[in-house]
Amino acid sequence: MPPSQSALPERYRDDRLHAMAIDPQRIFIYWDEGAAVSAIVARHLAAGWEQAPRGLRVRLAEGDVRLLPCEAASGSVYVGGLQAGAPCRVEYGVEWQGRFLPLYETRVQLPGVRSKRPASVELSERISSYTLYTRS
Amino acid sequence: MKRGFLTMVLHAHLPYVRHERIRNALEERWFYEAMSETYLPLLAMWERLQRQGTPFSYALVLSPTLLSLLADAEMAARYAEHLQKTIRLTEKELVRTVHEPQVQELARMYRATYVDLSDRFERYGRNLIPQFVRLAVSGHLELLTCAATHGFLPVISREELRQGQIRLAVETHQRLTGLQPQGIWLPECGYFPGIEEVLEQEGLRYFLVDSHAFAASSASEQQGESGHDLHAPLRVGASQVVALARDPQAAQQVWSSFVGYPGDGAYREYYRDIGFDLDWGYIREFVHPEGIRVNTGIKYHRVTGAGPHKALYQPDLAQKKVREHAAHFVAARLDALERESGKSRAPLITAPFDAELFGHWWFEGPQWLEQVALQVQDTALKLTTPSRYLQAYPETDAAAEMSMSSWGRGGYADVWVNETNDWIYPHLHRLEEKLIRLLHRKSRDGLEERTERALRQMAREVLLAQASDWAFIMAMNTTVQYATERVETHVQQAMALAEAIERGEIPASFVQALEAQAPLFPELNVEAFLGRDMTAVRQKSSLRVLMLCWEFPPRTVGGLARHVYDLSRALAQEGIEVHVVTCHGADTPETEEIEGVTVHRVYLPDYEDGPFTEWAALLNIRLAAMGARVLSGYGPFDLIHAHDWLVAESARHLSEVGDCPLVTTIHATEYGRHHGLHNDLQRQIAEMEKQLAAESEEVIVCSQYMRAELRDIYGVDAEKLHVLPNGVDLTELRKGTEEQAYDHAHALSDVNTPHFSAPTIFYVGRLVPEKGVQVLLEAASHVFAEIPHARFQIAGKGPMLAELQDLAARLGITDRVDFLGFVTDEQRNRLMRQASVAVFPSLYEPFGIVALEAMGLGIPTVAGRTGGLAEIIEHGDDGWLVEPGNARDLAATLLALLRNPQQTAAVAKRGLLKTETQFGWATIARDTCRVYRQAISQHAMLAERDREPTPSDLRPVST
Repeated sequence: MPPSQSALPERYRDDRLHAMAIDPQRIFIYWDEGAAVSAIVARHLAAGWEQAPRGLRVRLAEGDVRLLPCEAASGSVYVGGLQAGAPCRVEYGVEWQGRFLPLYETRVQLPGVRSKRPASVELSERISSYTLYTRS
Repeated sequence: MKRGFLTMVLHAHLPYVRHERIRNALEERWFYEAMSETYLPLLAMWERLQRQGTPFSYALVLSPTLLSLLADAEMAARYAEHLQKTIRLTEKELVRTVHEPQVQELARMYRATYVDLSDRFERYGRNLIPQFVRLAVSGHLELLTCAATHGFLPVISREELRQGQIRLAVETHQRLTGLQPQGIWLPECGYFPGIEEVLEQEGLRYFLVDSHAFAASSASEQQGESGHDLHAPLRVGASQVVALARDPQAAQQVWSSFVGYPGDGAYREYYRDIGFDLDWGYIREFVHPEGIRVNTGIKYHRVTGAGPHKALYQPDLAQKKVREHAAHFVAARLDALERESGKSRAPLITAPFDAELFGHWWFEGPQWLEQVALQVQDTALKLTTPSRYLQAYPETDAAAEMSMSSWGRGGYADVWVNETNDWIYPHLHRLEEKLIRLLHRKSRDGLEERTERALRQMAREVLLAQASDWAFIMAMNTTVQYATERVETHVQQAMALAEAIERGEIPASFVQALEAQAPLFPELNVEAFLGRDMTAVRQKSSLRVLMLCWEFPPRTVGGLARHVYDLSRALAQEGIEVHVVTCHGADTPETEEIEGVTVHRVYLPDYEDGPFTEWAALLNIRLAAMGARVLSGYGPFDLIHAHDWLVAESARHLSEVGDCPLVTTIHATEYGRHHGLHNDLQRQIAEMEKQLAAESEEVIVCSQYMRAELRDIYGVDAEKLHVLPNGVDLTELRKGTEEQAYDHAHALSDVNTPHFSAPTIFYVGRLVPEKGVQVLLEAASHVFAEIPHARFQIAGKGPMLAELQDLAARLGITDRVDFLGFVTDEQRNRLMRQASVAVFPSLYEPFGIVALEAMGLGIPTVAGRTGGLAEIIEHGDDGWLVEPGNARDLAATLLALLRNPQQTAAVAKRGLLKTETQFGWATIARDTCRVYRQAISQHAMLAERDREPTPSDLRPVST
């Protein structure tokens, strides 16, 4: 909790998401939306996206995904119950038309005996140099 | 016979509490109390042992902030004054207690103690450091260092700052003690993976961790549930640095507030001090001038019991307990030793403690340490220092990986990151980032003295804000207001300095005032924060360019990664400062320096359900966010250079934010990839390509073919289109293949004799329709009809893999076609070098870098007569061109060149020569610079045109 009447800036608006490990099961996350989001998202989503709910998606390896609501475009939160030694992906995004659009992403390694499982399986095979190929 | 060792490590640390403007700052009393109750009594005790000839060895950590306070003449003068005041109080106490003989006896003890402290302090020339050094030189003490301002390393966001904390600590230790430390106390025993590499670079051999760090290490996987032996050092990571684990039993006997020795009823009670107990009128002149009651150090009671009643202190009773507790401690260690008999190496029991526990919190602590030394001397246990032990027993087990840990509550970062103090980090992390970027600028540009001085002070402020003490105080809810003010003040002052540096307007008086407030680290070397490879001052660049691309090695999807890698390095060679903003590969760092190019990475978003362009937008948000940080941190930039439409939006955003011209390289078009635009997605992508080209000051393409496509189909102004071919880095290409020089003429001469090695036809590239691998497979079936023992190797991955494998099965050639999957650059070069022929049967190919690379390796190269390939290869002279999509033509060409080895080898040789002379990256980089300069002029011209007229513009020209 920040000191009251702090002379430090309330927000930086610098498109930032950061996660820190606190212990083998918990992380601390803070975020702040900025100009990159407002400039680029505005061109892709219909009006009203600014009011769309924000959220955090915390992913531990495959199959263990949590979506947590965020109250504002800037803030911080603790997330617990994670897996010791695992790499953890954290995404901050906007919920839009029933989908979660991950605006920022960061990763953090939880302390503990290291898990060998990767944080994600990248899907780049489906993306072939700047266009999406699908079998027609 | 000594069978085991005990090392007692005392961690002496205070945050930097010298206050210039505030006379009698409450927190300076922390220093006075620690001096009177711990540091001077410890020195007195060690001198006693030395005089008696008792063998002893202790390890003492002197944190750099404490060393700075100890070396500060002003602090020494203030402490001397404080001592005199305390002596006056003890004298006044002798009078006050005249009717209480037992209390007066205690008052007499305090008077003698403080007079002795004062005499000793003056005898030491008001400086304790030489006394510690003297004991270190005589082998009785080992002096360790700590991080510069006691920053808790796991919560520092930048590697450079963690590095800076260590390097500055070692420098300060050397400067103030004249000794190179062998060991370090990581603040709060806070280990962060990778820090061992920095320790090793700084000549440090060991550090301390709490015991659970060993249990959670990879050694525990190898050595079972109990983990690595706590009484043996553990070598960490790839370094030779070892970790020593705190012995939990030894720690508990001293630390525990329930069962620990200091809580014994006979010992002096810490919380009953006459500063709080006596009438205000009597004590006021000896406490804080502003009327605040404080500890005076004069305490007449003993712990007695848990209740509020406290009996008077009885020194004899306490001394008896000291002897008993020392005997108990030594016996417990000997028991532990007994349980470990038969081990191949003598065990080392490591017992680390906060030094201030001894004397300050536990009044009898120094005597207890003295008794341990006395009682251990005739046993199987020997007091030693970590360095001496490691010298005698250098062998350690195999290295292990450890994860983050500390000795705080819960064993990790909970004390330093919780609801009471987490507000610190969003501010501090941004400041750390800003400092590092300003330091990089300094390293790049060199700075005039005033700016450099401001930057040094900014570094001091950041370091002081990082001290773990502030977060700890907030978590413990003690002097929270002070800790909060300290963090806020240092952060604000650092921000103000950063702004002044960025503006180029630095008021000298402001910097001087801040320096006077915190005169520590006078020679602070800011280079200590940068990696060793970053400290060399760069040649001043003629241009500063930010490149955007979604792939960059090791993340390689197509040829673009290689192109940007080679071009950026070649530009750096030409004196251009290049920053590449791209996506992470496997285990890549966020920022790294590669041959003069600074690479910044973001995570690629997963492709999930939803429009492809939406995924691209998410990618661009991340690239733009990172790009904006690079612009502000390393700028000003002269230019943004985008590679293909996938980075269009971030390029546009950054060009606006940074007010920079935009140059784009279009490597391929959506229209070309699909031979037209057949659906909405393709039209949407083509529109983005068109818009990107339109918004760019200049556009680079790799072939005349591409130039025509952009001009005729996309309507790009011909004047802004520049044809610059892709290049080949022959040195890089030939790495690892020299030893496998291959005689193609000889190999090809054997095609008709199946007992010799089979001729191999090699393809590498993405498995997508426009690459024409399906045509190659059809051609293969014709080749096999004539040369049945030939082999086709297909390297690469892509969405057509299954389709191509089906085709090979249908053609009945599966047994002679190898689908090799993804190959690294080195593997690719080796395979290509071993091949008889390299084939690239593209249906659409803007340039065809891989064909050029095959030619650069001297391999006979066949390519589709399309796009850039048709411009690179002169058919029959330096390679072969075939009709795109015509399998029979391709088969006939392959058979012809396989059957005419001498002629084929001569053509391949000319191909090699062409690559060497026409496609070098140095030439391409120079041509790219020319395009950059043109873009910059164009941008300036447009800016001038768009500028509002000013009154001076409207003034009539005098004739």
